[in-house]
This record gives sequence, structure tokens and C-alpha cells, in this order.
Amino acid sequence: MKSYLSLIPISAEVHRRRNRMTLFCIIISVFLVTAVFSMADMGYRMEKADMVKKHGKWSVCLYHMQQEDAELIGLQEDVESTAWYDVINSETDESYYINDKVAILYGVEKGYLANMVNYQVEGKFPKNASEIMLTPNAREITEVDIGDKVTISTPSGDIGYTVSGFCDDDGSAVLGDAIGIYMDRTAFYNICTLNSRKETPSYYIRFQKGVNVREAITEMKDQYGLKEKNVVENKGVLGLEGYGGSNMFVSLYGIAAVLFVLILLAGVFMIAGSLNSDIAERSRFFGMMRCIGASRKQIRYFVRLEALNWCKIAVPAGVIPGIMVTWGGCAAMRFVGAEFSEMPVFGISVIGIASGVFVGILTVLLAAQSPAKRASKVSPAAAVSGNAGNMRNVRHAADVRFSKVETALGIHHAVSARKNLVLMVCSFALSIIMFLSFSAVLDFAKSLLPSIRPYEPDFVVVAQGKSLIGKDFLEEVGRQDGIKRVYGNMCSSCIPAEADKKIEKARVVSYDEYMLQCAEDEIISGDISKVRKRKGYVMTVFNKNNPLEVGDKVRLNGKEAEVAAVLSEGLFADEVTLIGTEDTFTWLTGQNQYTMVQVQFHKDVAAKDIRALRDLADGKYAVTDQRQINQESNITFWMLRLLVYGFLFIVAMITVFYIINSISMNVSARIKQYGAMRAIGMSMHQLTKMIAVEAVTYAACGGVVGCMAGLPLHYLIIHKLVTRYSGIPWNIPVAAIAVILLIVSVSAVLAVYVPAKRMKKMEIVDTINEL
Amino acid sequence: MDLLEVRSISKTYGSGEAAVHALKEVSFSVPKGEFVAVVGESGSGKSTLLNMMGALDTATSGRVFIDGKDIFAMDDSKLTVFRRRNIGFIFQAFNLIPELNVEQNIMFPVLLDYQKPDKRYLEELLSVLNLKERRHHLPGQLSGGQQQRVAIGRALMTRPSLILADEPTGNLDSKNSSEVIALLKETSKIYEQTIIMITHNQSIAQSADRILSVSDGVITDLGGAANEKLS
Repeated sequence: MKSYLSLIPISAEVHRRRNRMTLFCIIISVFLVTAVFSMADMGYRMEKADMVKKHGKWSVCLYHMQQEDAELIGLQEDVESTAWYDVINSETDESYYINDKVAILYGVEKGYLANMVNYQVEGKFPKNASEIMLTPNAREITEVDIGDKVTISTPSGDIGYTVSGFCDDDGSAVLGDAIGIYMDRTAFYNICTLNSRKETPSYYIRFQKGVNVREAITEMKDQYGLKEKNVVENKGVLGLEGYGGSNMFVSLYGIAAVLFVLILLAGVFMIAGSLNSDIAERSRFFGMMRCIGASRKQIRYFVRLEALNWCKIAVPAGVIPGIMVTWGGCAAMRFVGAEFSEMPVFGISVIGIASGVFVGILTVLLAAQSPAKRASKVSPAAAVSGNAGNMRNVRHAADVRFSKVETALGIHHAVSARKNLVLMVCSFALSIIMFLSFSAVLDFAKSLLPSIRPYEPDFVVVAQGKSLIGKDFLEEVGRQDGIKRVYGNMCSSCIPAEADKKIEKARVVSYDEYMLQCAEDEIISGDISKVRKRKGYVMTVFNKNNPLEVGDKVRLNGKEAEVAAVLSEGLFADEVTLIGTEDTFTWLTGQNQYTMVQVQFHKDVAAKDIRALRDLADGKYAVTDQRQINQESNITFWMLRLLVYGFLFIVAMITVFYIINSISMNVSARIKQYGAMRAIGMSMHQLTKMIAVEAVTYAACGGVVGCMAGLPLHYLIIHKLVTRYSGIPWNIPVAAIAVILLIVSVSAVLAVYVPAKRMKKMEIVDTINEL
Repeated sequence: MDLLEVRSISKTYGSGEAAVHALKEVSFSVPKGEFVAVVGESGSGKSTLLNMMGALDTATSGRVFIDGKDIFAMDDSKLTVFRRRNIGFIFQAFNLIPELNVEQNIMFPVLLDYQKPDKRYLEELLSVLNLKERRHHLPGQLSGGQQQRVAIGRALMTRPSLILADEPTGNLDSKNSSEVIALLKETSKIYEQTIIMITHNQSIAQSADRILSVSDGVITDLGGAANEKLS
């Protein structure tokens, strides 16, 4: 031994079993924090990459900008790049065609594709006004390739171009069953001139990294007198960067912060709890050190070094599996595809690792201080006499009048050491709080993704212009092969409407029987049967701007309909939507043809059946294939579900492990006392009962505190993220509470079983002599 | 009649070359009401012997009879009840239950038996042990001597026939030591109990009816007018 500090590794070797539990706790905490934070970081990066892919890299888009102002903005220091953009026929309802197929025309600067969006480009951007780029679907539809000549027909004449490349667009072309055409600003100007159209370009801006976008936008608005409606922000991307400004993002980040604090706390409690369990023994050890001449400073130094000695092994042992699990999780998600294909596989999350290391080292250092502090207060004689530590904490005698002595002692053991009780109850409660919070997040995830609604169609046929879809078309579609279900919606928008509450216009939609059935799962309040049975009753879809409630009467087209139910979601969620049966719809609007026909295919539908359906609608109605989008949303939902359930599982496992470990460590700390009790005549059954009562006391207190703190948080998450946007009211999460309480109870039972078994195996004399 | 009979008890810790023979074929018997002191150097095996007599540890071979009953033949639950009712333990480190007050600590074995404590006997013990005024104190509020008196009270509460004391005065000063020993002697006389006490202190040992000497796992002196065969 070179110095007294050489005792640290020796002592670690001697107390290997006791230290093993402490080490395990630190490893688990560090692992958990690293894995969760890393996954969250990866998820954030993925979400950002996906947002950039879908919505572009631009920060803000300005409409009706003067050329001079735009140039000045382009010169600003905080602006990285700018680009002009214009579009013709974005609604695909004008007569612009390419090789007889509807075309959407984009007039953009080269910088738009290079800096503002993130589309895949093949070939080159048009060099001059006689070249164009097409969306990749043009290849299949019109069989053109780079270098081919194509003709664009416009209402005022045809113009020939050469294809210089292919480039995606935001999905408008595919969705509208059209071809997107990119051309430079001169070519676009020529087409506008030919068709006597006025250009309405928008000006895209991307700010430099690190610029406070919110401030920059406000400044820009003031400086150039921009109107609110002329400034469009890239909300998704800015939101993720923390400049969202929208309530949704503020709530989301707030709740994410709360959940992260919970995870951090779980790690802290676990380590602090494990160190607290053997505090009496450690105090005695430090007391003994003080007796033989160690100064307080030396003890403090010893404690810190001992803690760091644990961290030396436990922190890397927690961080490395944390990173591995993150990689595994990311790889699995990437394998699933959809938006997760942006997931970085071997990404290293500095935030994740730093949080893990931080939780490990800081908590251990803080938690290890406590025995040292206590040791300095213990008198040297008491420290070595064997009665130090365990005698000091007791302030009141156990009450043995009303219950059996082992029950009274069990309760007393649980409640007498206040710090231990607080730590145990907090960790029990924390597990419950986390479980409830994450189950609320799952509800939120569900409300985010509409395509998991059962009536989400694979194919949508929409009426074009003023010609609606007749019932015969619906029947004809129904007769086709491969069709599982077909249902039509009659729809009439912007009908002037009046009610006792402030509404100006409403959209009326018809649901068929199948959709009505589906709607039953979405009822917030009211009763659908009235809508079904009687004409004049409608449902409405909840949104922030819709004041209608059950019982309200709406007058439109000289008729009065009563709101019989409020739904959380519907086909249309914007403005005031009234949904009725087809009869009610016709009675209200006089219209009896469909605006939209929705088709669901059988799983094994053949490509020719889909083509047949396309052919059936072709020319008359617009067709959109939703299968890809639905599949992606489904995958996203299931992945989210898997993640949240995975997390719930981890939380549950921590609860189980923590409870078992804490009780086991508590038993270890009292083993000498238990040995003496056994010697005096306590049976194993009585001893087990005593430990069980202690565990049940922790579980019961933890359960009550956990529910008391977890339910308001659950309410808050549901209220802020779900109720506000979909109207679904908060309900007591009975199932989640039952599950977590069951887990807690099972853990408590297991927690008793393990140390009881260990005690049973030990000779009484060994327990008395155990140090 | 012999209350305790130890028959060819051996205890070996470990195996092979690392084997330590703590007790080697020890045999002796103690009649009812006798106060026996066990002396010997540290590591001689006296504590092991005491643990065997109290069935706190299992022997490698041999048997122990208390009141004619083979305690090693009992299963754990029977043994627990037997120990609770027939043997009183007094430890060097007192081993009181810190959560229970003086009175509760003394009553503890009776409470474990789900019996109603004999209040008169409790009062008597408290007064003999001079703990009446401290009855509601917790062990942490007592001196070492007081704590050991509580431990004695606890050992006597079930009126056991055998009291096993492992250096009961080891943590006490000489004044407290002689008080505790006097008390033990007195109570054993009053309640006709057999006491086996380990001690390092020769003068305390002298106050016993008989002194057993243990050395290197073997009894070297049976003391008194014993007629047992030396092991």
C-alpha cells in the first residue's frame, strides 16, 4: 500500500458482492439515460432530415415581394441564400398538358433546387429557356428520357422543349396524377406572356445557421412592411429547430423536457437509493477510519475517489451498451423503411453520451457524500461498537399493540428511515409517473397519424370541376375485382350557415353506413343513432375554430339541422364540418351525387385490377393512389407504438429491478439484525412476512404518490397535445394504472422472494456475523 | 438430570487443504441449573461450540440434546419454535432491535410466539434488571450496560431452560460487567436456569459453578467434579 487511498481497490475487492449491486445500479442508470437520450437525439435528427426532405431547407417564403426589396433581403448578412419560385396549374384544373397528360409548371431559379428543397435530381438544371426538367413519374407515363424532345400544350399554344433531367417535386404531381415540369424563370415568363398571365412568384429565403430565425423574420416584416398573410414559414423545420412559435411545438418540447427530467431523475434515484441502502455500514467504515486518524478532508477525498472508482467501470459499461442499443434500434427502424430510412445507423449522440456520463458521475459523487458526512458526525466509539448507524436513525419505537410484531416491525422499517422512505417512494412513484406519461404520449402519437383510421382509402376518385360522380360509378367500381370496399361522400363546401354560436359557413358531408360505423369510435360527445335514424340530425368534427356542440341548431339553405354528436376527427377537420347520412345531405343541399369515391382494395389486389380502376375513372375524374402514404403512416404509427411500448417496457423493467434491488439491499443492510431475530426465535415465515410488509408499505406509498403526481401529468399531456387538437376528452387511464400497479405489486412480491431465499440459505450464525 | 448433552460434535469449515477444524469430537453434558463458563483463547472454537448448542449453525457431525431432544433432528420451523421457547441468547454486541423500546425488546420472543406477555413477570424482570425507569427508552438511548441488561431480560422472558451467553460483558466496563454477571447468577438461581457463558475474563469465569476450557477445537478441562470423558 502506497497511501491510504490504496485501500479503495482493496475494499472494493472485499465488498465485491455489495459493490456489485451498486455498480449494477449505476450501469443500468447510465445505460438507460444514454440509450433513451441517444434514441431521442437520433429520432430528432431523423425527423429533421425527413422534414427537410418533405418540406425543404428554406426558412421562410414571401409572397408579393418587390424585386428591389427581394434583392436587398438577399444581401442581408443573416440570409444564406434566396430563390424565386412560381407555379402554374398547381390544382391540375387548367389546360396545361405534356404529351396529353396534365402538367404542373414550376418556374424556379437554379438555387431553388440546390438550396431550398432537397429533391433528388437526375441530369441537369435547364441551361436555357428551351430546356425543362420533369418529375420522375413522366418516365413511366410518357416514356421520355433525358435529351428527348417534348411538347407542352398551353391554352394559347404549344411549345417544344428538350428534357435536361428529372427532379422530384413535393408530391403534388403524383397526388394530382400529373407531371411536374421545372423550367427556368425565362421559360416560365415566356409561357406566362403567351397565355397573358401575370406572374405571381414567391421568394424563398434560407437563413444562416445559428441565426435566431424568429427575430430575423420579425425584423424583416418590420423593415419591408410585409403583411402576415404574405409571410409563410417552413413550420415543420423551424419548429424542430425550436423556432416554431406554434403552440403545438412549444407543448411538445415542454413535455419532452418533462419526460427527460423524469428519466434523469429515475437514474439519479436509482443510484442514490442503492448507495443509501448500505449507508449504515459505510458510515461505520468511515467512522472507523476517523478513529484511526483519518481527517475529515481525507474521508471526503476517499469517498470521492471511491465513487470515481465505481464510475471508472460503471460509466463505460453503461454508455457502451447504450450506444449499441441505439445503433440496434436505429438499424431496425431503418430496415423498416418509410420515413425511418433517414435514421442514421452508426450515429453517435453526444447529448446521449454526455447525459449518461453526467448522470453517472454526478449522482454517484453526490450520493456518496452522504455517508462521509454522516461518518464525521458519528462518535469514534459508536462507529466501532457495532451499534452505530442503525441505532441513530430510530426516533420512535414501533407500535406493536395493534398488529403482530413482525407486521409492526415491517411497517416501522419502511417508514422510520425517512430518507430511505423518500427515495423508495420517489422511485416507485417515478416509475408510475413515467408509465402514465408515456402511455399519454402514445395517445398523442395515435392522434397525430390519421391514416390508421379504418376508413382510410387506398384509392380516391375525386370529381373534377362541376361534374360530380354518379351512384352508378360507385356500383360499377364495386363490381370490379380486387375491391374490398367502396364508399362515396357527397360534399358541399362553403355553404352560408347560421347558428346561435358564431359560424358563417359550413361544409356538409355525407357518410354512408360503413363510415358512420367507423365514426362511432371517434365520438367525443353525443349519439350517432339519431343521425342514422332521422333526417335533420348531423355530426360535427371538433376543431379549435368550431364552436358547435351537441344540441346546437344550424340553419342553412333555409333548413335547420341539429348537432347530435361531436367527433374527434373526420374526413375534413378544417372549418365547420357537418356530417349527415346521404338522405340528410340531399335534404340539406339538394345534391345527390358524390364528390369523392373512396376505395379499399383486398390485400392481394392484382396490378391489372388497379389499372382497370384507373381506366374506369380516367378522363372523367382525378385519381389518387394513397397506398404508399398509408403504408408509411402505418409503419410510422407502429414504430412509434413499438418505441413507446418499448420504453414503457424498459420503465416497467426498471421498476421491477429497482424494487427488487432496493428491498434486497435493505435486507442486506439489516441482515445482522435479522440474524439476531432468527436466533431469538423468529421463524423464516415471520421474517419473510416482515420483509413483505416493508415492501408492501413502499409499494402502497409509492402507488398513491405516483398516481397523485402521475395523473395530473397525464391529464396535462392529454389536454395539451390531444384534447386541444382533436377534442378527445381526458379520461382516467384505468388500464394503464392497473398495468403499472400490477407490475409494482409483482415486483414487490419478487422483491421479497429473492432476499428471503437468500436468508433461508444462510446459517443464522452467518447472518449475525455478516458485516 | 442433564439439561444439555453435547455428543461428539465436530465442525469443519472449508475442505481439502484449506479445511479448518473448529471443533473436534467435543462431548460433555450440563445438569439443570448449573452456571458454566467457557474459556479459551481467541479462535479456540468456543463461539462455534456455543452456536452449535443454540442450533445457530449446523455441525459437521455429532448431536446436541436439550432436555432430551435432539435439536439437529428438528426441521427449521420446529427448531425456531424450540429455540424461541427453550433457549435464551445473550450476545456480546447486544443485538437489540433498534426499533423497539426496552419493554418491547424484552417481550419480543413472546410476541413472536403470538402469546400475551406475562405482565407480572415483565414487571418483575424490569425491576430485577433495574430498567423500570427506562422501559420506554429505545436501545439507542441506553448505555452499554443497560443495553446488555435488556438483552438479559429478553433472554429470560420466555423462562427458557438454557441461556447461552457469548461474552456478555465483552463490551462493558468492569463495574457493569460484575453487575451483569451477578444478575445472571441471581436470575438463574431464581428461575432455575442453566447458563453457558463464554468469557475471556478469568475473574468472571471464577464466579461460575464450573469452567470449561477449550483449546484448538478440543475441550481440555471439564472443570469441577465432572465425570465426562475428555474429547
